[in-house]
Amino acid sequence: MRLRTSRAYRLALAVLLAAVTLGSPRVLAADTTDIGFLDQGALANLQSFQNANRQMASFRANLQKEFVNRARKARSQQDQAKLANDFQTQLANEQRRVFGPLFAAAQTAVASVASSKGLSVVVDKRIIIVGGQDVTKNVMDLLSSPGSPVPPVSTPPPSTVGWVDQTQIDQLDQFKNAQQQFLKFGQDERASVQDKLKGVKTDSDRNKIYAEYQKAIDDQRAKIVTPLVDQTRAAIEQVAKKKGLLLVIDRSNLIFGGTDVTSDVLAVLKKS
Amino acid sequence: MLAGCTKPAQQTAAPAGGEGKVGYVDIDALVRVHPLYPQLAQTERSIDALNLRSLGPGVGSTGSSLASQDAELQKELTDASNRTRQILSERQTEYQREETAAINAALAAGGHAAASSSVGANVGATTGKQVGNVNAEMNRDVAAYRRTLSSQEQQQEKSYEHAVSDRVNRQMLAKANELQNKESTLELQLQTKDASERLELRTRLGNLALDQSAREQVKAQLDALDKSESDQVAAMRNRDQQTLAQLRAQLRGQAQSDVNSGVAKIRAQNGAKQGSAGGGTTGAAPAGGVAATNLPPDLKAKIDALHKEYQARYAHDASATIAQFTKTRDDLQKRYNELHAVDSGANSSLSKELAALQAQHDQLYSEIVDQIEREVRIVAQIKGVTTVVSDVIGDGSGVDLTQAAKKEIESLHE
Repeated sequence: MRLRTSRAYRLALAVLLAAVTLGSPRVLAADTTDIGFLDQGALANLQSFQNANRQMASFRANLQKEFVNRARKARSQQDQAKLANDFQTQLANEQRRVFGPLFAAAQTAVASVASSKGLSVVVDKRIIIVGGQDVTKNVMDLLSSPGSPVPPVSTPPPSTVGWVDQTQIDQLDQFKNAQQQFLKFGQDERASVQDKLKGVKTDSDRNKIYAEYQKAIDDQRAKIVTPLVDQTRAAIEQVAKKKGLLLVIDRSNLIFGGTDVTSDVLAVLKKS
Repeated sequence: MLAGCTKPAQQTAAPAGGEGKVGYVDIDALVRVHPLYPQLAQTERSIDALNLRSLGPGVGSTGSSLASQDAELQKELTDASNRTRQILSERQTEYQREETAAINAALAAGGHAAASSSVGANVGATTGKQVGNVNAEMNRDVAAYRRTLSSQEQQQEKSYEHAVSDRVNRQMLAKANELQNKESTLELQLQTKDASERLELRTRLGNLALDQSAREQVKAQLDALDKSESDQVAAMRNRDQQTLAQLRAQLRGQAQSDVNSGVAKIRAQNGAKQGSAGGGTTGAAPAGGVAATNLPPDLKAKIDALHKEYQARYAHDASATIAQFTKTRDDLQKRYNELHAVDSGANSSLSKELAALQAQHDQLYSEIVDQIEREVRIVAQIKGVTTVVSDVIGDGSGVDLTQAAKKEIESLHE
């Protein structure tokens, strides 16, 4: 659904925080109290994050001006693409420089709180509907207190909540090919719609063209994308059952701990 | 205590392992069975259609800013045209005067009386012809511009009608959505208000020890609760339908009136532009005149040479003036085209429409998810599941509450 894809900053934080995952998992019986969650939106309200956001916004605005000036002088589309690429790289570098230390402190704080509460996994608040332990306030308190948070001495306990890095799955040949094929189909269809719309005079004809386009896209998705989604789900389920996991989430929703089954799922998908 | 005391529909998902304390749901699947999903899907289709529409040809319109810039350009063209005419006219008079003086001097030197009227008329006729040519060229430009305006007028009228029709459709859609949102809000409010009572009644129904009459009594209470809610929502829907019908009639009448006045305004504006563009020609000097036929051949040749010289000088001067005018006109035409190109892009209200639809979509989605989460909490409570996670990408041995929650949500349709 659309709304679930519009929280890039949260996901970015989750991805960075997820890097703290340590140790090889051993699966033990589930305990409802060992699942924690964090409201990353609240974390972003901390003064240090707000300052960093302002700093980043100013950098972005200046860079944008420079990019526009240089893009005007670009001789070809390749030059423009190269410029855009440089722009993105500079932006990403600055983001790492500004937010990197904050994320590192945040992940240490989460690990510390999780350890003190005996949590095996901390996930994004957004995906918890019932229960779980809210560690947001503890983490915020730790981050707001003087000095840097101290990392826990022990690794997180084994978790029955698994996670998969779907970006790695997307890199498999069959997934990349399907993605490109679907992308190209979409581009061709849009170009075709553009041509058709030129001669259209009535709303009814226009709507007919839109409906045909939508149907073509849906059909193609069902033909190319859906089988791969089903295949992935089945592979994850197979691994989850084998490892005795209760459920498996995407890495973007994970903040700390959990059991990484990405390589197992990749292995199953490569065999199929 | 509540586990196992559920309706049959809720018993489909048995705990698959562990202590059965951790469950999960597929939110997307639940959204698709929610009563408000058709409305959400419709909004998504509208967003997709608008996104596609932004690929199509732009619809031009006549904003007040555009009209004023347009008029400014038109004024500049008219001014340039008048200036050129004035310069040419002044040059004509000046050269005519100089030529007449030179010819008179030549005649006086040859012992002839100055015949300024006849020779001057001859000179005037020649230069007048040249001015006439220049004016004809400028008039052709103005005529071409008028033809452009006429064609644009037709396009503007079509665009205007289209814009009015779009506006009416948007107003209708906005009102319909507003009313639907109110209905949904009422529905959600009622369900939230009665949630605890409903849960209690359902729990009592699930109690196996309940005797038949007590069970029927509880069921009747539950039915009454449902009926009360649906009656209130139905009453609101009826009122909304009437409101929409009235609005439709009102908007149709208003649209027709707007189209009529808009078309009249476009014609009036373009008429004014044509009027300002259509400056008449400066009166060309009358052709012909009396030729000096009784002069000696050498004097006649001298006068002819003088005439040719002044004619050449005037032609050179005039062509420079005309070139200047042509350049000005071309620049103005370019600016005119740019103005209209920018307008068709800037005028498009698609992005605003898209943002509004997206906000509406997000709000509706949020309301749907909130209600789903409330239902999931009830199901989890009944099944004794203490932690429920959404956005799961792979099933494990946790309790999949999706089917049970789906049945609860589907029952909202009833």
